[in-house]
This record gives sequence, structure tokens and C-alpha cells, in this order.
Amino acid sequence: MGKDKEVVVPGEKLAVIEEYLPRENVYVNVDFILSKIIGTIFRDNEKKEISVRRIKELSLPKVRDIIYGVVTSIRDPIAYVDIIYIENRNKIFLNPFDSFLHANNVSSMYVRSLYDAIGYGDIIRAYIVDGYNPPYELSIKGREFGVVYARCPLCMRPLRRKGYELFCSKCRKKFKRKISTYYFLK
Amino acid sequence: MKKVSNITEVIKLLDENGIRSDGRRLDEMRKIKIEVGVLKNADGSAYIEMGNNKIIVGVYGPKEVRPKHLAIPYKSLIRCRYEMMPFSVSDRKSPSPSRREIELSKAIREALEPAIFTEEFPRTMIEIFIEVLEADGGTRTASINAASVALADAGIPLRDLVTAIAIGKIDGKLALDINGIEDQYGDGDMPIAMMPQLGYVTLFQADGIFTSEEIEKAFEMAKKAIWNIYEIQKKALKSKYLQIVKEVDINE
Repeated sequence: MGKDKEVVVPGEKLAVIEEYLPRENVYVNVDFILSKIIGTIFRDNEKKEISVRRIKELSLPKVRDIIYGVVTSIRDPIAYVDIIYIENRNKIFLNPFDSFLHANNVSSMYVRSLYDAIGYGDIIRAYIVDGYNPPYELSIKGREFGVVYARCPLCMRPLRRKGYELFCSKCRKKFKRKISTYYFLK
Repeated sequence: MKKVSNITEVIKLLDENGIRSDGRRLDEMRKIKIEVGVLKNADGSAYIEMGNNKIIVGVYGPKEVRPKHLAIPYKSLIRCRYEMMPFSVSDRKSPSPSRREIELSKAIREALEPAIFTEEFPRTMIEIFIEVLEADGGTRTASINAASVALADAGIPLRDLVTAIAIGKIDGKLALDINGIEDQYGDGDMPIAMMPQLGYVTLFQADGIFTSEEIEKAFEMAKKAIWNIYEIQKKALKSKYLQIVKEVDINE
């Protein structure tokens, strides 16, 4: 292994193109491999690869991030969701990121309509399956993912969980949802 | 007209020994101090002191574009706001954006944009906020120096750091890094911004009359100064991040 923990700034010459193959966070300009970001150099002398490792992460959501989002509109088979929070990195977005949820990514079982799984204005816990830039593609497959907070569409009261459905105590009505184990009104 | 000529007589920009009003030689820069990561809430930030100039820069992004219709499907949108504080100049400056500020915002944005890998972040935006706390000539070049450091601090991929310096003309001679008085009463001002490692020029403005030989000479002077500033920028960035890397090592 080469010399590690060496901090480089953008535009700094790391090597000549004959020496290494350029990998993450580096680019080639004429004869040289230059750094794109501020980070530490990582030279793999066995594979002859060079890359720069980030010290500071960008605030953009990434694939496999667990997020909380608000359903802003549903147009079967797609629902549009605003990402407001990344759980694994504890990041709040006051300026939410756009994402969408396709009916394919709701459950491993057959879903007839998205309206059986989520509702307008619901807060969902989901994970990002695709997209390196907005709009991101979400999935709520899995027990921990799905609706974590919902209100009654008739009276706007928070719905409570009753078995596999949500229940409004005032309207005495049941609503179908794909409920997460994180649903917080039991 | 008479009054102006009196002032220029009183203020001597250059004495017999070739020393300027603030005691510098013609090819001497003002002192520069750069601090990185001064703001907690911004993604990247920098503070620069270039002589009497005091400028603070905050960078946000990449983030979702608002309003949505401004989003560019193949690259990131760069937004830049250059603003002078009401107390930055001797007379109170109105806090509303003036013609000059709006123009400088555009000039600075266009000087920084070639350095950023905008195509890596389609449908997002990067915001640069430049606040001039104290102004004393050459704020646009100082702003560019600080903004490129703040962009690097935010972790945004850059081709190179952008470094800028202004060349002025006082009493018919070229002077490096002109200050407020020299800018006001001198014969010309030529801010130049470059990406030093790549050798690209990203900003080249001129105000006043320069001959072609003078432009060539000014460019050579600027190049030399830009490498000096580049080293200061690099040092400022590295000193912050070396500390972080060391802290991580200890924790490991």
C-alpha cells in the first residue's frame, strides 16, 4: 500500500497517467491524474489504482439511505414523496428532495392500487433504491418500512393502528395502509 | 472638477522611491489570511482578510432547486450572491442590492462555474453567499479566493481552486493588488482569475486604458501572485483537514 492519510485539495496533481488507473474522485487532465475533492489519497499498488477518499460527505441522499418523506401526490401507479429526513445520517432537509414511489416497490405481495398502501399527506419511512440525483426512487418493501404517521382524510385526526389497519376513533372508520413497525400511534 | 484635481494632488499614490500610499512596492501584495469552516450551519464556508478587506463566504448544496422551473436537466445550477454590508464602506451603503452588486454576483459566478463539475449533479443547485464585511478595493478578487475555498470545503468536486488578483495602474505604472484609494484615484483596474494548476483564465476584466504590452506584463505579474495566493488557499484547506484526519486516527 502507498502512503495513506495524505490530504489533497482539488486540482492537486496526484500521479502521471502511466502510473495508476483513475478511480473515485479523481480526473485526468492531459498527462496527469488530479484530485477532484478535498480528501485523503488512496493508492492501491496491487491493482494500480488511485482514488481520493472523502472526509466530508455531501448532503445529497444516496442509494440505501433510510429516509422519512411526505406523500405529496398519488397518481396510480406512482406516488410523489418529499424527502424531509435521512435517518442513518441524521440530516433534516428544510428544502425537501423530490422522490417517487412506484407500486412495484410497495410490497413483495400483489398490490392492486397504491391507494391501498399509502394516502395523501402520510409520512412514510422508506429507503432509496435508485438515483444519484433527484428525483430518487423509493421502496417501502419490508416490515420496518411504510406509513409511520397518517391522518384521517375526513376529520384530520391522527389515525391509530388497529391490527393490520388504521382506525379513526371519531369517524369509526378503517383505512387500508402498508403500515411500518415504526408506526407510532398504537 | 477643480475639487477632484485637488484631492489627487493631496493623495500621492506613488512617491519618488516607487513606494505606494500604504508603504508597499509596486509588485507587492497585501497580507492574506484565510480561514476555512468558520460557519457551522453552511455546508462549506471560508473567511478571508486581504489587507483591509474582510469577507465571509457560505456555500450550500448541492440541493433541490427552488423554484423548480430553474432546474437544468443536465447540470447543476450555480447561484451566487455578492452583498456588501451597510457598514462595509465609509458612507452607509443601502442594504438593497445595487446594480454593481448584481453585476459582480454574475461576474463571480461565471469565474467559479468553469471550475465546478456541474454535470455531476443534474437537477440540483449550489448556492454561494458572499458577504463583504469591510471593503478596501479588490473585493471581487478576494471574494473569488474565499468562495473557491468554501466550495472545496463543502466537498463539491472542483477541477481546481480558482484564484484571483487585481492589477492596477497608478501614475502610469502597473501595481499589484490595488487598494481602495488606488482603485478610486488610479488610472485603471484589471482583475484576473485563474485556475493555476490547469492554466485557465476564468475572469479577465479591465477598466481604464492599458496598452497591449501592459496587458502582457500585467498578466505575468498576476500569474506570479496567483501562485502565491494558491499556496495560501491550499495551506488553509489542508490545515483544517489534517486536523480532522488526525482526530479520526486517534479515535480509531
